[in-house]
Amino acid sequence: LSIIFCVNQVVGDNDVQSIVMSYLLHNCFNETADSLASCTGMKQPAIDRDNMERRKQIIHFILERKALKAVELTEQLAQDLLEKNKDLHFDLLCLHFVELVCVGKCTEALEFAQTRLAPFGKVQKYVEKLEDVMALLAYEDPEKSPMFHLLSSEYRQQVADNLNRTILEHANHPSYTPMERLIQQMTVTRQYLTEENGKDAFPPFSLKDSLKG
Amino acid sequence: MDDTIGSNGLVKKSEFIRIIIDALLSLGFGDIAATLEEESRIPLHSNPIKQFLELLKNGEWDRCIDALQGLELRERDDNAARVLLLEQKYLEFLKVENSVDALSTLRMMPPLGVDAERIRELSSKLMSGPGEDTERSVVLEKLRKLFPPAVIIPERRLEHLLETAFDLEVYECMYHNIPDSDLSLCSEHRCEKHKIPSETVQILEEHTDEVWFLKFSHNGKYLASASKDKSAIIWEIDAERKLLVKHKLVGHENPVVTVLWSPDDRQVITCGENEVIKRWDVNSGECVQSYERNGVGSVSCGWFHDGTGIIGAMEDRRIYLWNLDGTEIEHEQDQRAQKLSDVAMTTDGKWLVSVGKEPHKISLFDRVTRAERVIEEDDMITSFSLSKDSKYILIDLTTEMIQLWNIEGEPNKFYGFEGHKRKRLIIRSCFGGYEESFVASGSEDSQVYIWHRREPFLRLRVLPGHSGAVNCVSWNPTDLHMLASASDDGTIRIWGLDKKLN
Repeated sequence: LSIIFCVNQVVGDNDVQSIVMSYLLHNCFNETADSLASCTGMKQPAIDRDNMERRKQIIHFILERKALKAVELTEQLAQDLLEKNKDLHFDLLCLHFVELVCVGKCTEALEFAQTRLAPFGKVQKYVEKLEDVMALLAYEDPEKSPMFHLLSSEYRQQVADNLNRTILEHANHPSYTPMERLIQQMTVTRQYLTEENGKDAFPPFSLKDSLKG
Repeated sequence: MDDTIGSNGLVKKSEFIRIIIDALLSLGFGDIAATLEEESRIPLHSNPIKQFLELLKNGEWDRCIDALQGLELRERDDNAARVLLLEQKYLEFLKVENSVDALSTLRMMPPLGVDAERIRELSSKLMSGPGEDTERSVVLEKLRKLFPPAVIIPERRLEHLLETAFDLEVYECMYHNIPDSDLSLCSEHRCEKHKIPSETVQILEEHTDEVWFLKFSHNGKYLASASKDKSAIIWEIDAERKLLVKHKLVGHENPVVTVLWSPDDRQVITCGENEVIKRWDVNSGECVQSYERNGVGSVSCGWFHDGTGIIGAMEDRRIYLWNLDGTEIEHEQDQRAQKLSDVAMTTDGKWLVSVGKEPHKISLFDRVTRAERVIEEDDMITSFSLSKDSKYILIDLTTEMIQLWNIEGEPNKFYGFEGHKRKRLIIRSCFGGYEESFVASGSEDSQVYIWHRREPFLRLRVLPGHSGAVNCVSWNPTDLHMLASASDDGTIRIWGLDKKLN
């Protein structure tokens, strides 16, 4: 019911700008953020610039297939972060492994796996992923293997996002932007309404459709 | 059409000769094998196969794979063979920790159509090692199945066929009761009834009253008996297979109802009727410990499977467990509804077996999980006895029926044995003979009854001789032809083979 009331409220420009700004800062688009600030005359929130710079670098390293460098920088930024987030650590090391396989350095990849990945193999939840990753070695052309998605840029982006959030969380910043939270909330609320009133009255929320206007 | 030999026309001559050649080779007679191949003009294997097998034996995988071409297998089998050989090559590289060559071998597999799941399994071995099953003989066996039948003869085929024939003969031998060493390839085997004890070979008269219980030691060197005359006797078997008194165990003030051997045969425990349980040293004949509970008499007893403790079934209808030194470990909290009789622990130490909470039930109590399994019979149970391996139990019922159950896993009822007589007393039965395939029982009609355990309707033996009810029987575990019976007539009879027929 509160949604219906909201429709009639006017959403202020300031609110919208804050939402956009927080999104930009979360994703380290610092130049765009500066631009937005100067265009609108809004005050930039006090965020840790240094933290943002580093996050930007780390993310780029991942996207540029330099996962080990990303790990190095992360450890410099927050010593115990990877220790406390073993899943993430494992994913990053696996990325490095995949990078080696992609450039044909299979023997090196095998050695890396035997030294750095093997300890994870002792824990049940990592075993399946480890097997996926090891199997890449069997294929002359990893792109043609069943695990080709591990080589994709989407996957790298996914790991990068995850690391970004973890770093923010570690520094006691929110790991999800208000924008994301709003969309999540919208989706859940719509879901609830659909369940109560049927699909015809309230179709499930779709961002794509909303953007069409 | 291949020539056949033998009266049934089943055995092909060429195959017969080939397995003989293989047998000669396995015995080390290479020259004779070669001569036979020449003279009969029947080679064990064709030349291409011979070479292939040689290469496989020596682990020359690449040449082995090349040799596949000349063997003209169907495409699917050829592919499967290649994969098998490559896998073996891969695993052997892993075994010697040659990762580089292992890796390049691994990479040859996807193009051969090996499924993704198998590739994953194999790849993970780069980290975890080759694992089990890397024997070349195992690979050979798998490969053999890809070839048309009879192209490759399995090694030692003749031995295997002969052993199968023996197994069948033994299985079908109704009265089979001879040691394995007596089996011969040279003659058809049939034990005939005369291999089952049928004659009294000795009468033991040392007891002065009814003999209620007896049991041979595990090593078959001794017999222990318990009597209404308040004593137990340990008998020794001498070189001529005759029994002599070793010790008379005196000390009970009531009739002795049971006497049981420790797992190492160095000690026995005796149970006085409504009295105490005593432990004795076999060598000295001295009593070393008593087990009791104030004011509560004993009904029956048993040993822990490892000899570290004693079980007692007591007059207060509870089961007690003691350490050897006499300190109590624990006892049942609830009383059972009826008087207890036998108790025993299975040889794996897992179960405590006793007549259960009700007179027609046997309870199997799991010592670890504390859970209970129940065997339910139709009538009241008087006693039971376990097989040596604790997989089977014989339950004696009041209705003159001995019921055989399998208690390995979920209890499973097998056969019922009848024919003997039981009205008032506890009459016991036991397993015995070759692989415990026989069931023997006492009877109130003074006779000993013997059945084969798979043939409940065939009474193999009914042995007269005693002049009073036969209360208990025991079959010597290491002498297939010696049976002992305990009777109300105060004697023990030792039964053996009929000398005229043996």
